[in-house]
Amino acid sequence: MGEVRIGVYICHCGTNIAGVVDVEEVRKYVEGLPGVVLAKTYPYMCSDPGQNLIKEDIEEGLIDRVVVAACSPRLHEPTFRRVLREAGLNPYLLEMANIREQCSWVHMREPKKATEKAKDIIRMAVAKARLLSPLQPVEVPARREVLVIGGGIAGITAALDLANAGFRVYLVERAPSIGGHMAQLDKTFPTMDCSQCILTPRMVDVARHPNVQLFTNSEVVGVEGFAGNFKVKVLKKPYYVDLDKCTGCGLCVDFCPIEVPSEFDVGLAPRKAIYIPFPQAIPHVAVIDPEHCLYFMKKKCMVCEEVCQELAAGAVDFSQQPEEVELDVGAIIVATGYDLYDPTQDEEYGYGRYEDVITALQMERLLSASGPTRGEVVRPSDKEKPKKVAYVQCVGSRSLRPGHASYCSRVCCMYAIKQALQLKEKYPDIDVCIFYIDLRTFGRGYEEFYWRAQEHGVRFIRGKVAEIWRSRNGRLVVRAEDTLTGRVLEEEFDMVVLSAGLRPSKGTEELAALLKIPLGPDGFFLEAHPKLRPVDTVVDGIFVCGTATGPKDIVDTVAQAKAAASSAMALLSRGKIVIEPFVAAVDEDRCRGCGRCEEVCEFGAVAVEEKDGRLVAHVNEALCKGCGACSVCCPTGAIKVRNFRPEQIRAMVSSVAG
Amino acid sequence: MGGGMSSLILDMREADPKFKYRVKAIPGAEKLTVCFQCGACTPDCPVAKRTDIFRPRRIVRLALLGFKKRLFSGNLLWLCLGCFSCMEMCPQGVKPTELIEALREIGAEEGILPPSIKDMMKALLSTGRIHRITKAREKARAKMGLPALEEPSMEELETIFASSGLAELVGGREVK
Repeated sequence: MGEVRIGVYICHCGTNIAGVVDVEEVRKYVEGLPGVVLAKTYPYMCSDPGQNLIKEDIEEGLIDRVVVAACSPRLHEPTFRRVLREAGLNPYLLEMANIREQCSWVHMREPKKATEKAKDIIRMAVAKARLLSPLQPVEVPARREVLVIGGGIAGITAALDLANAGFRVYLVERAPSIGGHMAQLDKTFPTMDCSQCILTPRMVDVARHPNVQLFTNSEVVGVEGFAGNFKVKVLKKPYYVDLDKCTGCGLCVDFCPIEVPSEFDVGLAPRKAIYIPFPQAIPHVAVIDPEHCLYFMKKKCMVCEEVCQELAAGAVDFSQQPEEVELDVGAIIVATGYDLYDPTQDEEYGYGRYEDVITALQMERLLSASGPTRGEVVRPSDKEKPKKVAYVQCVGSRSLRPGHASYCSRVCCMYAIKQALQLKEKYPDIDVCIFYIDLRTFGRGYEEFYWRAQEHGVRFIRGKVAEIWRSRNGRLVVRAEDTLTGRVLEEEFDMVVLSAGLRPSKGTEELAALLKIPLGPDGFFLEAHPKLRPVDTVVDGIFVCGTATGPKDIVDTVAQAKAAASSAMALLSRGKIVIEPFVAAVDEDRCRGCGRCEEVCEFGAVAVEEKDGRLVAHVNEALCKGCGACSVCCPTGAIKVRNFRPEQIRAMVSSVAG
Repeated sequence: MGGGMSSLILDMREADPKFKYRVKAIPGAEKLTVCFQCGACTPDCPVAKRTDIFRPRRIVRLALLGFKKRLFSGNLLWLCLGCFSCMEMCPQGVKPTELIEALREIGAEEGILPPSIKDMMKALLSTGRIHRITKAREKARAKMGLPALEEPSMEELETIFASSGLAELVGGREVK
């Protein structure tokens, strides 16, 4: 290998670099470094003419190694690699020197020192560039199956898009039925579409789709592997009902003696220990809740089995066991949704103490024709129709108080206005008053929706409710300040609805640990970049969408679900995944199979195996993150990270440390 | 034009936008700038229920806008009972009670004290008590079997008043 010919290109980046660093002085200095045959500066290296500077010099045979001194490689390294590739040079013969984020931007008040530092940084990059080797990207075969965790509107949407594109989907839902929270809603804003009517066709589609395999009443309990090749363990919890035999006739439910509060009706109505989650449930079968079933608790009572055997399909089967299955998938989409904030701890509102103080989700069940009161909105205490209803906004949100969330839950203004409108349409004489701090009606058609509510006579009072109590006549008194008139008011209502905020769904922390993806400070799953990568996670191959990353309406949830499906498709469509080659590589002649690298690797990427009668370390390039821990502890220097070899790092350090 | 809590038009020339930074520098009042005027502090305020002019929310607003004249008018700032009800409710952590204490301090620095407070302080400085103890009261105490009231220690009081600057503020000690 002859002498390398390094070309150094120093970017002004407008005034970002040149405003602090004397780029001409740096250029003159760099020109004299050993191995450097030319050094140029340019206002914007990332622009087309800037890129062409490099391209032409390569094509004319002047240089065979490139150093670009500019911004962080996180921004334009791919740009410049492409330039090298197009000019016919191996794209990994590029080294970037960050003289912006790590120099001009942090030393803005010390231009002389910044200039000296820039020289040092480039000298280090040149030292490394001298030792760069050409590399090829690594290709790993990828599976065409996708796991979707969560069977709400987000999971269902993602699953359908993937299935329609020809990918096989495993949809895992931990509840006995898919549908999520959207199945509990009566109408959706701003169109006032019946929620069930727009959801259930999709539920049916996803259940019947030949490319989708549904795992309901199931949970993900283990995840291993990497993008293109995940191994997932799913625990199928028993229904204690044979899904093939059960017709959903409901006879068992009629005979069951045990009643517990219904989760679907948020405690407003009971369900039995054997139950069908809701009329449109999919799968539409009965399921036994072993925590409340007398048979499981005390070995007494098999009424449901007897009745089903005698009069129906003989589907009840107490002997069912949980089953663990292993699935091989190429990508994972997390769509685990949200939970509603429980306002019991906010004693000033009286939730849990006064029956007629309810959450908006409970009101949704009262409004719903398939709900516990068949769509009649009545006070839980005496079943009377309320004449006056108050809404309290921002319950548990926008607050620094303990147990509250600092964020805005985004959908509560709209759902409160929606419910207020529904109440006005059902009962034209009802008085509905919404107590708010701000009204966030941000989406398409949302402000018009608010206007419609005002037209219908919904009252709006700007003031955060401080207290709710029951007066002697049994009505609820709400105390708040009408901040727009500066008057404190106390008003009697028959019912109060708390617009509770959205929280991460139960089990989020455990799932994040399984998948090894981080959560944000608000407890929701963290996206890879808040603006530009809203459905990616920091782990390749794992995507996230819907309210799992934070409160949002159905519009945004569906958009994100489609985005996640599309991202998974882009990843897997070519049947292989291309990864950067900066992974560990073993010089088998030097390796003596001691196994220290295998011990130290956090990612399980190195294993000592037998090869040709001796023990040699082998690297799984898809799992290797290129952290270099193995390289550090290798006694013979057999294992090294490509283009981050110890001799390269040593050269960089010597060039500045002497 | 301007001044007086009853005027509905705010003349913004009266507002000092830099005032809030002076207030922010006093410990306890730092968070006044995050108040979003939700009004949660006001409904539980016992003084707000009984007066037209006192609202914790309004005090924060006036301080933020810098309407010093309105803030220090009358004994507005001295109506606060220090019950902390407002602080329990605030979702932003603003601490209106401590803000009002900070504002009182700023008022004191500029020699602004409501006359009623000044009188109370003067009485304290000259007699060692904020109420005058009448002979009738002394007799009633004796009748009930209560011990006679001790003379307050004026030395300690005078030291406190002198070193805190209160003596100057209040206008010197009146000889008994």
